[in-house]
Amino acid sequence: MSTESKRLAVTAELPRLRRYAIALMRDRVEADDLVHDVVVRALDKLHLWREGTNMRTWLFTIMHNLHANEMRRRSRALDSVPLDSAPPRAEPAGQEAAVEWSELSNAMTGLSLVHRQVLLLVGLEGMTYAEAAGVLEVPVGTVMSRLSRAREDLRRRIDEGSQHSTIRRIK
Amino acid sequence: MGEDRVSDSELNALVDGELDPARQAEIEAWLAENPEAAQRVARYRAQSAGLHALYDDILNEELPVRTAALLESRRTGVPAWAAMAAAVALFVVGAAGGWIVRGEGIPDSGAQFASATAPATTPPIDTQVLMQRASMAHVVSHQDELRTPAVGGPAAMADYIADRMGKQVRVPSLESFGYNMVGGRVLPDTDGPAAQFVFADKDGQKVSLYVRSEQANGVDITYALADDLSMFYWNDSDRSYALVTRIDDDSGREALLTAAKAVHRQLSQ
Repeated sequence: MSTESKRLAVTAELPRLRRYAIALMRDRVEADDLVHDVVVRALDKLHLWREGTNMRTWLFTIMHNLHANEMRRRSRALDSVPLDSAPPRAEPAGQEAAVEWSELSNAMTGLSLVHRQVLLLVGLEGMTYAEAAGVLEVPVGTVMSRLSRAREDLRRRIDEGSQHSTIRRIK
Repeated sequence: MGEDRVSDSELNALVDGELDPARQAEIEAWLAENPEAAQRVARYRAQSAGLHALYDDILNEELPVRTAALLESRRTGVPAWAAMAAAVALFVVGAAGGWIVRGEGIPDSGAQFASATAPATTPPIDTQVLMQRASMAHVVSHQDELRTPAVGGPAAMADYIADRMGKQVRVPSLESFGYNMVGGRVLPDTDGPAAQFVFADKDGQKVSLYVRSEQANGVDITYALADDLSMFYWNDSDRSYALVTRIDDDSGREALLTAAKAVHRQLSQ
């Protein structure tokens, strides 16, 4: 496969990378920064991508690692303030969707990062457990247990959503 | 179904299509007699459907300009910042205004030219009006004509502009480039009031952003030049923007592009 074809393969995956990044980070500016960094890295490392392997999971793996590095860097900078408790700065989608699905959106916001990751990779991106395990660099069993807990946590939060409506964040 | 209890993991695996067909059939039969578990499966499926409803629109969005420009630059070998400006078609604006629009990929192409890649269609935004208005406003923007942002900060400025323009306008910041806001104002324009924000650095070098109401096809950040005024312009669904300053050397132009990208990002958040 020519370099140009590989670049096109990268480009074809970018809408999905952006969707995942925005859903995960809940901040479009940061998500776009991350996707841009992934593209920079991927273009530099294009010779390392092996034809016949999955371009999507390769790019998602790069993104996961860059994101993890960034989180570590920030958590050092913030000195023990858990990043996941930081309030979101942007709604994930358009106005209508945000209203219509606000319960789900709010509930997602409350999940831990690892739970959001696995829910989005499997539930939104449609990855197999094996693919998600590869991206997150954890065993398949870990993906399954996280997913199981994430879905229950999400279910519980959605059910509790109405009770918490008065303390929902103000846009 | 038999003695073995269905685990949480198996319910999840059912939702995700990870079971082999035989086990899947077994569990589906079991669910028919276990409504509580069946409801959980339905909830899990609804979660996934909800995530798609929340986020699938993103798949149809354009890539951010700089990422698209990066990919384009690797393809063509033209530097990314230049590819960004050239990403849009090159076209010539009416000579009456004395404006020349050119793609950054072609250095020193001072003369007017019509590129082979230029669209035959009407320019997506009325660049001539935008440029004339933006440059005039830039030249004639003495401090005493501007509303200063001192009281109430950007929020108060946004309210001031919104009250007079009849619609919300975001107030951009160029502080990270060393430019502080001098003031803003609302000016008459053909399609209703336009807004102008004026910034200056510590040496008094002035940069202004002109925002006019205009519904037009999207245009990426594009460079334009007239005499000693440089500008980058772009638009969104109902406004067009021009960032103007008095420079015409490559480093100054690149700095202006960087600032334009920052403003573009702030305004499109």
